Amino acid sequence: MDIRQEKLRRLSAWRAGIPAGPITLELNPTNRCNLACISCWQRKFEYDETDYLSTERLLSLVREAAALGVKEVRIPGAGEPMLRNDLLDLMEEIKRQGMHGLLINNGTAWTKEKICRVVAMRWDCLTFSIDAPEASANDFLRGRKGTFALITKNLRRLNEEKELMHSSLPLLRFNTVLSGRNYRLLPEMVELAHAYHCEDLQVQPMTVWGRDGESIALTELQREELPQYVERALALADEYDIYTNMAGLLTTGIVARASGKMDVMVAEQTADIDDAFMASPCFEPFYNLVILPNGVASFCSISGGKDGDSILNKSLNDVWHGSAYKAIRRTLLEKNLREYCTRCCSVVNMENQSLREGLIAITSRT
Amino acid sequence: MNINPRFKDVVHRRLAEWAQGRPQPPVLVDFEPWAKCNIECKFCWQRDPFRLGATDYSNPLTREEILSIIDQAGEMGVLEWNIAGGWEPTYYPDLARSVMKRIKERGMYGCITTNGTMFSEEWVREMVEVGWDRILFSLTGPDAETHDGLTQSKGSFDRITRSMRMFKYWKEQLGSDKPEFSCHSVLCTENYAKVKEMIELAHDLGASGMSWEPMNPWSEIARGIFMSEEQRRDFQGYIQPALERSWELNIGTNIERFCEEELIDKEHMDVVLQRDVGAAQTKKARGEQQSELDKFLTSPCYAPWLNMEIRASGHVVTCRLCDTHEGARTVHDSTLAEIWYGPYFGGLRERLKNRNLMQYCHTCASGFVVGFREIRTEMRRQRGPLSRIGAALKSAIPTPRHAIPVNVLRR
Repeated sequence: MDIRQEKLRRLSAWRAGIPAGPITLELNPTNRCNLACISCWQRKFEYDETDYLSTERLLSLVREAAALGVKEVRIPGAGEPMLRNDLLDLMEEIKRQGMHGLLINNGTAWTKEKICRVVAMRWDCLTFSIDAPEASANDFLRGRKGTFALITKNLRRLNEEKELMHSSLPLLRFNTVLSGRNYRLLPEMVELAHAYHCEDLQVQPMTVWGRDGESIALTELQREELPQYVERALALADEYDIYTNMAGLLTTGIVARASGKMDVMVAEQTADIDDAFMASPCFEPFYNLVILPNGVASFCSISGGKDGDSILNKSLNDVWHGSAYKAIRRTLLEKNLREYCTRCCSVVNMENQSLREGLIAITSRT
Repeated sequence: MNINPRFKDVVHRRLAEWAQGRPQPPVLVDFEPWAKCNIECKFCWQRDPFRLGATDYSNPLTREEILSIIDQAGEMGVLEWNIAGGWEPTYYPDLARSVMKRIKERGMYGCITTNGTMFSEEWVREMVEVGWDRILFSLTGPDAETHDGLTQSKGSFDRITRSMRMFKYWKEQLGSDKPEFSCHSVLCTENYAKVKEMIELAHDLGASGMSWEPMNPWSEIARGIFMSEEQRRDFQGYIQPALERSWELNIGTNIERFCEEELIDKEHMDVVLQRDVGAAQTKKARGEQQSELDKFLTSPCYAPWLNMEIRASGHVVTCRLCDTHEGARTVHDSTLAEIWYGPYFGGLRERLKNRNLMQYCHTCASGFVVGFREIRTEMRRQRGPLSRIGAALKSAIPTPRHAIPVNVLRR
């Protein structure tokens, strides 16, 4: 299934006033993490590190999601999901239910057995958070020495296992948070991705969450220098046939606005659109259901569950069609934002803009 | 030669000068003061009959010569002395104390590698008062059985741990953060499955780090504890828990280095060294003319530009692994400066610029390999502004095939 087309189809239904179910479920199994990344939002907030959701509840959530029409389950890296011992069971259930599976991980917590299982289950996509193409810069940014060595070792083993099993899955992807410490290394990041057979390199402008983040944020001068490195990286990505979002860093002004000015970004993106639905600043609550480790349903990964219902005593269906989601959708259709939207994840914003363009293209055809 | 993080900038600066044809003094002196030891470690290279046979110890360094070369090194611009293990540098305590004092008086950074069996309480206190910088304790197991088994010296575990506790005590008593001390071990069949426990012990003893170097099978007895291929694979499963424990305890380690399994097999390190510069050697491969700078950037080793090793025999060579004194001069009849800027070191540098390793380079230490990689990365980064390359490439960039992917992920 083409997830993007399905997203556009369901968004078109919402636009026509017909409620549609979520197409993606973002399941956060834990807030625990073994690293201390400088750019991570978890450094800004106090998190309860208890894993509220039992294995049984997580598995039943996956089954509920499948029944609700969810086509893709994302297990994001807010906390390191691999630290949950039952994660592979969860992933296997996702695949059993016929859904597309994405996991973001920091690459440090794999074992031989887990590598064999993830290849055998034909998991779809593994994203490795890696912030530099060499140990010293990467380990500095990830807050722990040795991270780079572990990630690259596990990537080597994954590739070996894929080869052994003659499997093209899981697809490997890098996610790199752009900062003053790595913007010059983007071409080498592409080289690294190529060396480890990664098919996709996503570069995410950094949102500053605290003083540590401030210390590595791109300065104005560095932002001016950035395009030359992006251009070189793009040329290499093209040569190696690696998919990347880096072109978006050149033209959209998102790098300068990633931290605290995303409302301005959204206002510009929607300024000339008359259609109320397509002018919505965000489409996430129309297609994506986020579940936090404490069972609270969140409108997106940034809202942190604020004003959200809990799935501890409600079904996914009830939450999705419940009052909290209705309220946020109303807010967005009135072109209003919540306070936390100013720090929207740049990748989410890029996806929103892409979907908006897709919707515009559909309506112009009809 | 392991590069001290304190002197990384100096290392890069001096290498940049060398690369432009401007000779610089060494950064580090490895010093083997005498050929004596009080224990009999199974893995020790001094058990290698070839190495021992190749070295003439009949004319050892005198006290005056030792103090003189420390002075000369200080004047040349040497920044760090590593009084090396291999033999036991505390074997003659009085002389060792004089050497260490002189190094500090000359304002250089001092490190000593020791089996930790010879320290008295008075000596420990003196080292703390003098402000000696660093001690590397050779701790080979997390318990007496393992450690004493490998050192073949009953009681050596008790003595090394007692020494470390004394340092910890006197540092606390005198309110000093010096000497910083850490533990170092040879990785072998007897201890590879105990790396996590060794990290915990080092932490308990007040060490700032626990590091390993895979073993070279120098002798028959060493071959008996040399890790097999299967054990090297098995060892991979111990790395991550040990590393995570080091994070929890906030203690330094190099264990992650061995995720690269090639760095454990110490019999073929020349292959790794050559391969590391292979990718950058495209000009040579294509038969094109290489500039001096190209050659410098693709040298598989930088030891002769940074490091000199003074042996107990007085010979000055380039690194700890050197197993021949052929062509090397001694401090008995030459000054350190004459040797450093002379034909022996010059010849080694030329040889390496042409990617010709020495025979003994197959035993190179993993720390050197990793250090050279870091040097090369830094030099390439400093070599020239990418902006020029970027501008040239601008016209070659295709129109955006690089749209936002279908399934955008987030962190």
